[in-house]
Amino acid sequence: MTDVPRDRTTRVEREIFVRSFVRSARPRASVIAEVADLLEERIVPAGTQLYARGAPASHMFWVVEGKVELREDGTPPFVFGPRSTVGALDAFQGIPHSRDAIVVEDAVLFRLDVERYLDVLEDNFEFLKGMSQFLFEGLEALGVALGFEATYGPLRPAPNADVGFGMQAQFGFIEGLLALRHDPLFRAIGVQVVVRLAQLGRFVERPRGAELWTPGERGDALLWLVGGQLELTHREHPGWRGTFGALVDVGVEPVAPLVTLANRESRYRLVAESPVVLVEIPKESWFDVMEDHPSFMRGMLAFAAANRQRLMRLAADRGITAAT
Amino acid sequence: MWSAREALRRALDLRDGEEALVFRAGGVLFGLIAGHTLLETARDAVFLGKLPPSRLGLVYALLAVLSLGIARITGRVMQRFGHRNLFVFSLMAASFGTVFLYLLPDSGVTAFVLYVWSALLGSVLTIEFWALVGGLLSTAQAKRLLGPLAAGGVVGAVAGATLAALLVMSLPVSVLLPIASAVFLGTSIAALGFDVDAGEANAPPRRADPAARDPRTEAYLKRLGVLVAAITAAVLVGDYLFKASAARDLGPDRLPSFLARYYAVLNLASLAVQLFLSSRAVRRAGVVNAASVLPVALFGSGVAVFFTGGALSAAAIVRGADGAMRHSLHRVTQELLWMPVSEPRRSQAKSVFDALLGRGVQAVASLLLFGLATQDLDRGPLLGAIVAACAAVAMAAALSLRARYLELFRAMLTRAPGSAEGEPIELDLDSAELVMEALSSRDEPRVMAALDLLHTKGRGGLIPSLILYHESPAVLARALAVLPTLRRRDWIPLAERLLDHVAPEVRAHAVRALTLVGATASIQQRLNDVSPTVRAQATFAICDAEQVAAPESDPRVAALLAARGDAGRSARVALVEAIAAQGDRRWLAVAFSIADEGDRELTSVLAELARRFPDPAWIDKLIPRLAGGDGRRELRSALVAHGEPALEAIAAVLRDPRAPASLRLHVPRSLSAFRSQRAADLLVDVLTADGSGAVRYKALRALGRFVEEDAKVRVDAARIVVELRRNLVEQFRLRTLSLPLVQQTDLGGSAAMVRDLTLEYLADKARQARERAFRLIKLLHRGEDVRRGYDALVGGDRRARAAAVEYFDALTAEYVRRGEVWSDVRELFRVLLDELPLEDEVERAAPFVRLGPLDLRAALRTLTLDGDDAIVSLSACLAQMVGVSLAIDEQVIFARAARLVPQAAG
Repeated sequence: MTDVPRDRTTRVEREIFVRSFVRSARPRASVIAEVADLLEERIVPAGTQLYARGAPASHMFWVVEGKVELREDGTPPFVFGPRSTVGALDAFQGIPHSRDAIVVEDAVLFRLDVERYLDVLEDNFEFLKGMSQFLFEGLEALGVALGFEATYGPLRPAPNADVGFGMQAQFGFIEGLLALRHDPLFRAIGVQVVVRLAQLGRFVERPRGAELWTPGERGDALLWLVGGQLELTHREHPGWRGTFGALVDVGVEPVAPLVTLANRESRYRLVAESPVVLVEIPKESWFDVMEDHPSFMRGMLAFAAANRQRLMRLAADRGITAAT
Repeated sequence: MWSAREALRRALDLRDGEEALVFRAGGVLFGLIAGHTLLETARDAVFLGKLPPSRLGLVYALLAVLSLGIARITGRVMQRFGHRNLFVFSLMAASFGTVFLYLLPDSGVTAFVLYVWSALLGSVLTIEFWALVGGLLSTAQAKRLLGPLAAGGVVGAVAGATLAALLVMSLPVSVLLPIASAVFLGTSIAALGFDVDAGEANAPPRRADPAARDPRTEAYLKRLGVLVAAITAAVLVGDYLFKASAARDLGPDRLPSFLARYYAVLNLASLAVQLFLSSRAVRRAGVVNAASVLPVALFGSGVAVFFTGGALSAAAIVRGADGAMRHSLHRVTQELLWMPVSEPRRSQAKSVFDALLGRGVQAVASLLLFGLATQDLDRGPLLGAIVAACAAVAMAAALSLRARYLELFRAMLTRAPGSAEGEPIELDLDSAELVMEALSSRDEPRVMAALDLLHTKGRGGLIPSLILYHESPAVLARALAVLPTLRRRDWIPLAERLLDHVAPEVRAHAVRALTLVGATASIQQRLNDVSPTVRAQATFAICDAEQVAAPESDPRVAALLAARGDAGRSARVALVEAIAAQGDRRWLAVAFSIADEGDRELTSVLAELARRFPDPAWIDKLIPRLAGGDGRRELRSALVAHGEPALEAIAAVLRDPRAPASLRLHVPRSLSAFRSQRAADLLVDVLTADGSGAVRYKALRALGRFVEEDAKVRVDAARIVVELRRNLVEQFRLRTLSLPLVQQTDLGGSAAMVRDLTLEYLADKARQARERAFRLIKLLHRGEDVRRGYDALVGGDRRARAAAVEYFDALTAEYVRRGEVWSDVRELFRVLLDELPLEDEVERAAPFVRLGPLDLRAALRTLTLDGDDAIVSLSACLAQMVGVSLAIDEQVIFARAARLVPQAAG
């Protein structure tokens, strides 16, 4: 990387940028100052490579001005403009950079050490909560642009409600634990966290035709489908519809977590197409557990990052401008 | 064969990958010392045969000068070629130089040169050897391995001396020179085998920048210098004292046999100390305490000499302490004391200390003794007093090292200093210009950020009223929230214009802003606004302006309270927001009525209201809201505003068996918000007595944050250390129980899956217990950056981990003097910090865990009796799968398993 570090940005400029960037997370002034302290400004001419594919992802960049492309041979590039983040997705997943990052328009960037940024998040949980919800809002919006199957598909198996999952059987807890561990959201976090979440959850049974989400309400619980079938539709996009639990098999299926973890009023309707059994974990409990388990926080960020990367790839394939 | 090797590994406490290094280093030291002993024997015989003993003074003076030059040269060579290459080169030079001296004509000059050559080699080679080994070992390894490794040197001395004695019985003494040369050559070849990639052994040290010296390191080095100088002087005077006493008391006839027996015993004692005592003493008592052992022994024996009038037995103890420890325990601790000094300062200072300081002190002490002898003052009591005085200085220097030693390891763990983290900025003129530029932007987030910045910095006066022409409703709403807080009225006409804005939130904010400054004339029309939010704001504004005494009875307010559906809810939200922003106590009844509806969205605003207008009735209304939803921070501020009654009411939640778990969980953080000693005491109660692990953990975190932010608050260390011990034992208990499962490698299919899941769960819990232990340590050492040390300990950086191990070891070293529980904690920490294989770890922790030897069956039986439902279920399931019968009622286990399954909704 041949970019030029510069020292012309004042603290005020940095604070204004941070405030505008993370405003939705409603951080305290001290958190803003802490994040502003992490920023190293870089002024980078077009054509400069910020990092190469395979390099360790220890830093991420916030774009202030200009444009950056993430390139991979044979695939359309991801384009990032002002007030977007470059390099964080790999860093959050703990993997080396998966693409080359090239500045395509003279850019002003802020460079952040990812570990130190995660430390700030860990020490300021309300901020973390706000930022993760902001991240999921972006994912949810991307999901709307790409359609149900791209976001949640391909159709995955879920059991028949009549068959049941057997969680109430003698050692159903262990079967449940093994099944939950297959959910990508839980793969990166400790078993103890999963057990604790399970204990905070509850079984919910709903008859055919029951409306689980009504447009205009804010989803306050994460759902896993244990049995039955659900239909999800979007209020503003009549063609946007999909089914959870369309096939019969064993396992539990997360129901649109990207929607629930985004903290805004739902524009979705979720209806039981058959009698359904669900495990419901209140979102507040979810965040309570996360506050006590930094590994969970990192696991969820990794989950969000992996999803965003997947959806961005699809968006780029379809020529949709996803990275803004 | 395998068992003998394994027994040796265990006896020397060798870990994977250390065997080759220890045997090579031990072998090289053996060769070095054996070769040098052969050379020394020849040197003494040749020198005393050719020259009078008085020439020794000249030899010492010349050695002091040469040592200075040699130190400078070797320093440069080391900078360029690295430790290993310098050491190998020196050994080869020793070999060739010795042969060259053997070939020189037999004369007084040759004898003189041989003596100087031998003395220089003795100094240079040992310095280079220890510098090389120091770079290959981490501090933790050095503590374990330097003792056994140095034993190679003691054995080398015995072997060299024995060989010399046997050879000179039949051959001329000069034959020892080519033999010593051959030993040096062989040793140099062995030294080539040191793995230069294993550490910094052959990495040329970075050039030291004198201007960049760390003052903490320099302060440490000064104290270390005093220790080295005082010990050197005490040992030299002690040696003189012993020899003079022996010569005086025994006479020339009995002296040789006495010395032969005495030195034989000393060599054995030194070897025993080396093999069995030095590592244990260092690891148990800590480096600094172990470094005090020789000074204490010298002080005690020096005092004994003084009071016994210079008795030979007392003088023999002085020399014995030196002989048994100087090349074993003391050498090891001296090497370890260099560990916190970073390269290149370490190499640079070490060569000065070893070569110059040591020789210089010896020269001065020799002159002193010479002077005393000429005045016939070299008597036992005076010499004993000098030894005791020097030893006392050494003891003081060693004690003063402790804090600095810890400080240096602490510094190694600390990040490079940056700007003051989180320090808020102050706005100067240049900064204000930038903010104004941001306010003029069309970019909504940037404008909002600038508005927020000016508001939080108390510079709202800089916000131009023309911002109320902005196109973004969000910007308008934010500006209308900020502008009324200023002593300005220029914005009022523009705000009145916004009463007709298309966006309801802008109209509502305009009503609120105008109400705040008493400009209510234009608000009347908004009583009939289509938006319930705007209507509620207007209703409040009008009632407030009319000074309605009991707003809850006013029909306009009553209508809002009675309204149904979403519109009614929106109206009540707006009403309570208006009350929170501008109301007074007259409105409390309305606020209580709205609070009783239980709308979670209103938590923050109700909390703000309660904070502004404290009333005992709020306490019971606010506490249940801690269980869920946003606004906990605001709730806690509101409760704090209600003082002690609120604190006791929150604490009472944990005593109430009907209190929901979701509420109990938030009690600790709420208690800590009170920032009082009573709150801290309540948190310690929760930490040590609550039945829920999750609540206890929250209490621990809350207490940690509390203690960090409030220097005045006290915690009961005696209760904390008991909790600390409990967590450490729990950590090892879980590890112990996992061992039989780890060893059960022949499982397949679902049994293997359940076994792995069980192990993962046990590891999770053990990790958590360990993390709790470090949080508790932080409570005991509030000034310490324990978090950074813990991160380094569990992180992947080998050197950072080694520094962290030493940091925690030094931090807990004083625990051994504070009673049984503290001592146990220290011992448990030592096991935790040692990177032991699981089997060894379990064995070392066994006296504390007290589970006895466990096979799979016993482990599973124990696990099924655990207090954790998940462990019970997992282990019972695994037992069933592997065919282990349990004498426990299955129904009990199944009932406990069922408690883990999400509960059916009622």
